[in-house]
Amino acid sequence: MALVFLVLFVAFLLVLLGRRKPALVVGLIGLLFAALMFRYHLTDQVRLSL
Amino acid sequence: MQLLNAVAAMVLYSVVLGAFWFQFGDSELPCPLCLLIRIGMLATAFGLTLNAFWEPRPLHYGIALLGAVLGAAISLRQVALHVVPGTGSFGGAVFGFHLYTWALIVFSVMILAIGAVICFQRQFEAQQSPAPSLVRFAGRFVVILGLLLCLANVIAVTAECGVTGCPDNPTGYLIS
Repeated sequence: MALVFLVLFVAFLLVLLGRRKPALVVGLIGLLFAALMFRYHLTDQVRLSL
Repeated sequence: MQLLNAVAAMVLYSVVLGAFWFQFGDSELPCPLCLLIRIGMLATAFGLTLNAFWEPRPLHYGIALLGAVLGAAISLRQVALHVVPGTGSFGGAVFGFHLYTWALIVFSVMILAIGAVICFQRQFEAQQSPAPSLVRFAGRFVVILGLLLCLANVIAVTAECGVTGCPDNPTGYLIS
């Protein structure tokens, strides 16, 4: 989990350094990691009754 | 519009600061979903910070929207875990709502607000004059605040969970 915050930290650092495109790429990687962590923590069976 | 984005990012940062207050002031350890909600807040604020630091662009709003949708999904999942009477709750309440419920409200408002603000096309036109000093200061301020909050979370999460996944119901810090 700390890794996701670390990726976002790097993204903010790149913004401060004025590197827009690398910041966007790293920010999107952070979002992807966050989505994967969310999936990782959905370990129990999720059933939907629609 | 840059100033409005900076203010919106500040609102999200204040929520994360509030979560820190609960963690260290009330000694409530955050659960994995609570930490993921913080990530959603910071990711949404990241997109808005890009707008505040440079200038509003659809791609920046896109990142903010993706962060808000992810955060809303995570907080909705946590609300769903406790929505049935008798299933208990996690953490303290503020004005009767738990933090994950407030998070869902904040993310929903953010999605609606970004959807509305993105309709104003004039903000995407190239600016003729440089931004006022207040706007430039606000842009730098939200970047530095976001940087510090991410760093604080890296330290706090490493102390709570180490470098692996966090326990479902944390009882103490691994590093104290």
